[in-house]
This record gives sequence, C-alpha cells and structure tokens, in this order.
Amino acid sequence: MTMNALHSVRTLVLGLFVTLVVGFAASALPGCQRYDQLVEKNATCEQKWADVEAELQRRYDLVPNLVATVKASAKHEEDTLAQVTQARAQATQIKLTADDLSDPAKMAAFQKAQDQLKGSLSRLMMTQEAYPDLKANAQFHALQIQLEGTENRILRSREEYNAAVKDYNSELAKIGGQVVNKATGKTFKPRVYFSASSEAQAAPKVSF
Amino acid sequence: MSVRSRGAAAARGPVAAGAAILLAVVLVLASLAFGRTAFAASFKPPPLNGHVVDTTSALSASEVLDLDQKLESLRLQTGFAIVALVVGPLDGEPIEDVAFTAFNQWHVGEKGKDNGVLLVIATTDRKVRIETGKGVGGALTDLQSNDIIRTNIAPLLREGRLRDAIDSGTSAIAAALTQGTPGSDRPRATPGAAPQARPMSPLTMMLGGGVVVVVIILLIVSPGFRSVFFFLIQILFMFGGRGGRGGGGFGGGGGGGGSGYSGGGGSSGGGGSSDSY
Repeated sequence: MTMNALHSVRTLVLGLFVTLVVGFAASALPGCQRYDQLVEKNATCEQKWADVEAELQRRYDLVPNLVATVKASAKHEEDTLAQVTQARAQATQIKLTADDLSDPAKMAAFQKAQDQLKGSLSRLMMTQEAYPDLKANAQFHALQIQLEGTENRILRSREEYNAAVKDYNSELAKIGGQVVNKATGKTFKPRVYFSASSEAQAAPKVSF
Repeated sequence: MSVRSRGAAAARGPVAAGAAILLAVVLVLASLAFGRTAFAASFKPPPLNGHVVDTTSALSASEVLDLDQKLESLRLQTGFAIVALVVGPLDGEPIEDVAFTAFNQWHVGEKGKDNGVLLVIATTDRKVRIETGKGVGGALTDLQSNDIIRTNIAPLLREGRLRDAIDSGTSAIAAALTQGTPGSDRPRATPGAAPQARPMSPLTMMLGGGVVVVVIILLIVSPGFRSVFFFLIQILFMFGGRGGRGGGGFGGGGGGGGSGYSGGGGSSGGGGSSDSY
C-alpha cells in the first residue's frame, strides 16, 4: 500500500519534472529565436551604417580636389572655399563609435556637421554661374558629376540605413523584444535615425 | 492513450482541420505578397517582361524585340543585365527616384553580384539617367555614365532617334562594363543565375526535423491522424497543380517571342549619373 503510494508520488514528480523541462524548452525556443532576430537586425544596421560612412568618405575625398580646381578659376571665392574646407574638417573630426549610434545628442551633432558640409558644398557649386571659364573647365565638370553621384549615393544609403533602423527598433519595441532585452541585461538599445534636416534639403540661396 | 485520443479528435473534424491549414497557407501567401519593402516614391514601374520597357509606345514592337534580343544575348554572354526604360511625363518626380525605384523593384542583375545597369529615358522631360548596380560602380563610374549620356545618347535623342540612342547607349555601357571587369568577355559556362535558396538557421532546421519526426510517429501510431494527413496532402496537390510558377522567371515568353527577362536579384545603391538633352 505504502509502496504503491510512493510509486505514484514518484511518477507524479517525474511527470511534473518532464512537463517543466518541456514547458521551459518550449518557451525558451521562441525567446532564443527572438534574440537571434535582434542580433541579426542589429548587424544589418551596422552593415548599412558602414555603407553610409563609405559614401560620406567619398564626399570628404572629393572636397580637396574640388577646392583646388575652383581656386584656380574663381579668384573671388575665398570665403566660400574657406567655409567648405572648415565644414569638411569639422565633419571628419566627429568619429562615432557603435554606442554613439543610439545616442541622440551625438547623432544630432554628427548630422549637423554633415548638413553644414553639404550646404557649403552646394553654395560652392552655385558660384560656377559667375565664372564662365570654371563652367567650361573639364576637371570641374568631372568633379561636379562625381559630387552629384556621391550625394545621390549618400541619400540612398541613408534611406537604407533608416529602413534597417526602423526594422530593428520596432522589433526591439515589441513585447517579445522587450522581454528578451530585459532577460539578457539590456544589451540592445534603440538606434537613432540619420535623417536629413529640412535646411539641408532646400536649395541654397544665391547672392552675388 | 493521449496520442490515440488526439488522433480521434482530429479524425472527427478533418474538414475543419483542412480549412484551418488552408487559412494558414492563404495568410502566409498574403503576407509574402504585401510584406515587400515599399519605396516611398510614387512612380510605379510596370512589370518587367524583357530588357526593354517602353511605357510611351514610342518604339515599335519590332524595335523593342530587336533591342531586347541584343541585350538578352549580351546578358547570356557576359552576365551583365542591361535594361532600358522609356517613360513619359515625370510629373515633377526626380528621374533619380524613378530609376532607383524601377531598378530595385525589378532587381536588375544577379543576386550577390549586383551587375545590372538601367538606362532610363524620360521623353517628355528630356532627361536621361544611367543607374548602376552596386557591383558595377567600379567598371562603370558615374563619370563614365555621364560621358556615355553626353556623347552616345543625348545627341541621338536630340535628333529624335530613340531606338538608335538606346542601341548606341547600351553598346557603350556594355563596352565599359566588359573593359572594366577582367575576364568578363569570356563566354560563361552557366548563363543566367540559378535562384539561390535562403540558408536555414540551425534552430529552424532542428524545429523542422522535430516536426517531421513527430508526424512520422503519429502516422505510424494513429490511424485517425493518417486519414487526416492524406486528406490534407490531396488538398495541397489540388492547389499545387494550379499555381506552379516560381523561382528565377527567365523562362516566360512574354511579349511575342521576347526574352521575357524578369530580373535577377540585383540592387542599386544610387550609383550612376543623370543629364538633360
């Protein structure tokens, strides 16, 4: 009788144990998958950010050539040229680490520096209207085409980065993402968008 | 015992179970169809059914066929996919956006290689753009693209010779691509790209394997489950018989003997150049 009771208790405990293990495994599997998803989406953001940085570097590389070419033909543009050189120096000074990409203040500063460089470059390109020999200069024309292409590439890589950030941020904001993030000690942080300011989008005013 | 009762319960409602599975299939298909990345631009490119797409009907059918054949044989020989798009009024939309949207919706070029080039001609706005895939930015630089537009395409367009402009432009693009890519002028052993399957994560594989094992065990143990399972298989075959098209899509003979090229898996990062004529 007691043996029988002991036996049934043992069966019960074993059954409970099995249920617990299976239940834990069943609940942990989707959690692991979600964690993997967050890691993957975060990695996609990193890759897209690297693309953005590569395109921004292209723009930095064009500036010295552009400045030299304009300097040779347009004698009265010291101010505009100085502004471009200064804006480039400021933009290249800001080095963002992986953590900075989820820091709104640092991203805002970075964005502002990039917008200033873009703005000063567009003002520089507008000066060609006043210098016919600059307009006819083949070297200047080549640099202009390259700059246009680079600006377009920056725009696209920026769009792709923001799409990846949106994907990652919304995954992180979902209940599943939040639970996984808390369970793993908040290793994931929402990223900040790299959006263009309305100021930089608008065409610069020309004044002679 | 539990397996037996589950099987019996399922056997009571094979129709209900079938309906549930069908609903799930429909939901998955719907999410595949609508879950694609939507680009913000308003331009809607028509379906790609060859290397030349003309929304203005400025080219005759034989001209389209002719150019398509030339670009198709070029693609089979070198791997580079060149597509020409002729559009009407842009309605204030930048030609860069039109080219980018069309390129990435059509996925011109091969997946991974991104070796496609799209030539867009906007006849009303008198604008031309060459949009390059991410993989050909070195062989066909923005500067070269601009050069091709100014020397090969724009002069012919000014004379109203649309067909010749596309012909000459695409030839110049092909020449730049093959010159700039070592080894690309050799004929390829395997023309066209095989569609690549997405690799499975180990977790998915484990889960899938587990499901298969459970299904096999149930099939052996439970007669009720067996009957439901084969009922579902029959339903699946019925539907599978109707919608069988999938994968790369190089085969469709759309447009009366045209190549039917419907894109590979290429993408563009905004490279290329634009100009007016």
